[in-house]
Amino acid sequence: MSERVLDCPQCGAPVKLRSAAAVFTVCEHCRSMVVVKGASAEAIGEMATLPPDLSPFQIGTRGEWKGRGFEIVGRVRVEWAEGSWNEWCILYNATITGWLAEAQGLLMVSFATEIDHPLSADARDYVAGKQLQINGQRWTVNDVKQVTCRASEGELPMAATPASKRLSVDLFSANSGFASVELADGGAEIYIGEYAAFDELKFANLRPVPGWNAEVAQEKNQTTALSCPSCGAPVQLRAVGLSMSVVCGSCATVIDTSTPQCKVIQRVGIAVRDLAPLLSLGQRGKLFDVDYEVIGFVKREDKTSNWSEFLLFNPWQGFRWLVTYQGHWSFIERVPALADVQANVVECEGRDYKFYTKGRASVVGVLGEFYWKVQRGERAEVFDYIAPPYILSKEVYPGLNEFTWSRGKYVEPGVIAKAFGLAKPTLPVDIYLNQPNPYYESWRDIRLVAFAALLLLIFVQVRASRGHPEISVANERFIFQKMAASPPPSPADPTAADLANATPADPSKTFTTPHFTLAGGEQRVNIDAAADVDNNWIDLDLRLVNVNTNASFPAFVELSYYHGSDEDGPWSEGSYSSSVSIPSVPPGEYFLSVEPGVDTQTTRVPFSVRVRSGGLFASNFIVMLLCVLFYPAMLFWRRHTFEAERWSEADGGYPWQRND
Amino acid sequence: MIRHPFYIALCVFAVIYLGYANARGWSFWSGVARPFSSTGGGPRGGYYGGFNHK
Repeated sequence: MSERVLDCPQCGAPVKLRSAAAVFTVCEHCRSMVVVKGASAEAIGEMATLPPDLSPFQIGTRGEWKGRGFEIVGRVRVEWAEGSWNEWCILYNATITGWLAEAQGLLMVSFATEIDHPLSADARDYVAGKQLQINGQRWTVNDVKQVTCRASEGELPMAATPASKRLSVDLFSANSGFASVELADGGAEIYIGEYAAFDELKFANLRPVPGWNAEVAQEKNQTTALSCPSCGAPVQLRAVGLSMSVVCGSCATVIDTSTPQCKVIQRVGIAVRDLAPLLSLGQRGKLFDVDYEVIGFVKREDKTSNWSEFLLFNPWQGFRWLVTYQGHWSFIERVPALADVQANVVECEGRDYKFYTKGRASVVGVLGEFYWKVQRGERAEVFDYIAPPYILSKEVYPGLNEFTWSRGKYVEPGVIAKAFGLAKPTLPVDIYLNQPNPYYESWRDIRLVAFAALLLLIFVQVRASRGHPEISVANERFIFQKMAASPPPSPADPTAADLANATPADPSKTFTTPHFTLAGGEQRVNIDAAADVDNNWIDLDLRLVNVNTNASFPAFVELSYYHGSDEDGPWSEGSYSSSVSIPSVPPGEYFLSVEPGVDTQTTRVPFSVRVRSGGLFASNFIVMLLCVLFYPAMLFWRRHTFEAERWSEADGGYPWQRND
Repeated sequence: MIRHPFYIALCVFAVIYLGYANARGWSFWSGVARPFSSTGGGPRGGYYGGFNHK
């Protein structure tokens, strides 16, 4: 950094210039405006007094931008018809002169830039919404205004004398791009940069802010209070230098605070005491680790409803909004660089927002102060897009040819109550448009667990089925026959051999299988039974008996098969075969006893039984599967009904029912 | 903080139960009944004494 030191032509005090580009400075001692020409300096009069403000910046404040340091070396206070802002001149990387604009709580860093074609110096070529191609990038004009220099301090790369005028054109591009075209003296200069968040600029040597920094006492004098031009009552300002209007708490007159004259913007007879905001003006609360002060309150309404908006202020973070409707709350901040799009889905900062509704909102009541010149009856077209818990709103002011985007996030009432010390949280009514779906949140929380449990259940079941194969341990064929009623079987009867094992005639006779062994641990035993039933039935009382302990495991099978024909054609019912399973049979040597039962007409029924060990009951898997899936399924259903209720209020219903 | 602890516990129980029930040859209903039965539950019918099978 090459520092130049000149003598003030007016008072002789040393005037330091750190920037090589500086051609204008204000003497710190006598406030003379000094124009620098090479090694000489010329005083051209006394600089006007800078209006007081709550800006946290000062000459000497250091910061960091894209990995390199900068220092504030000068400031211009700029005014236009609707307000004013600070443009801080910075010395970037000790060599480059740039600008840090501080307007409406937003910060923009920009530098004079050479571009690929000359810009038009005709003001008529710049209208809001017009798109320009600059250095291969598309830029959109979002603001055109005639501005005046109110006062300046420090060193500057141009002569910023009070009342000097120029046309200021703000542009934005994708990815938070910011540019400003300045039209003055028949020429056009462009400054290109980006919107920046306070925290990312890593400021140091900030100015202590009265009322916010503990080491600086709250100043309640003419810098923070004014007299109402209508009723004379004192009106306190909480964002001095940043707010453009304030509402008198006594007579509800809206006062212009952008100029020292404090003109009346609007005089209305609506009693402010009709408004009963939940949060008091001046109340402070910590939200998302930042202290905010409630400085304004707006009540707005559309055709169907009304809601409240609280303007929050923090000297370092700027302005935010808290919007409340029927007990629901959203924390809102402006999105400076988003095009004026009309679509069912709007992409903002990597998130897709679906169109929800639009309406015409009007201001029906105001209290406190605002960064624009608010008026009752002010109307705006409002377009809401949602990606719960986020909301994106576009407000279009038809008369001003202007639009603004703001992005918000749903805040639980308990958070608001805790932050601002409310006695109890507000009670939300119905479902709000950006209210997070609790069932979706729950599903998101458990889906990994559910998926893992599902995989584990399948794994355990597959592994168990491989580890417990079904093994046939007995397979016998019997003939139940009533001797007295049935002739002896002919030698040609293919079942004659089975009669060796058959019991003659006695209906109470029990058949038994040979002994068989069940190896391993406790296991399932499956018994398959089949019988040659033909328009009759047979009951089989089964009993699996441990040879050594006589412990028995009963089971029962009924086999019946009937068939015939009627006017509808042939029919049949029942089955020749059936199975029954006995759970958890201990290992050992067993036999199966079978006690058949038939009706009185039946005399002979051949039947067979087969005993298999091993295998699994499906019931364990099915019931456990239901246990694991029931809760996710319920969440899925509740999530759907929640969304159905949310979108029932939207224009066009469910987004997936629209023809996007 | 663990969210939905009861559901997580249910999932853990389901996996453990399935493994145990399959290993012991339980059906779900016999498995559910088993802890509540003084004779051990399940399908046990007692002791065979109908005839001397030997």
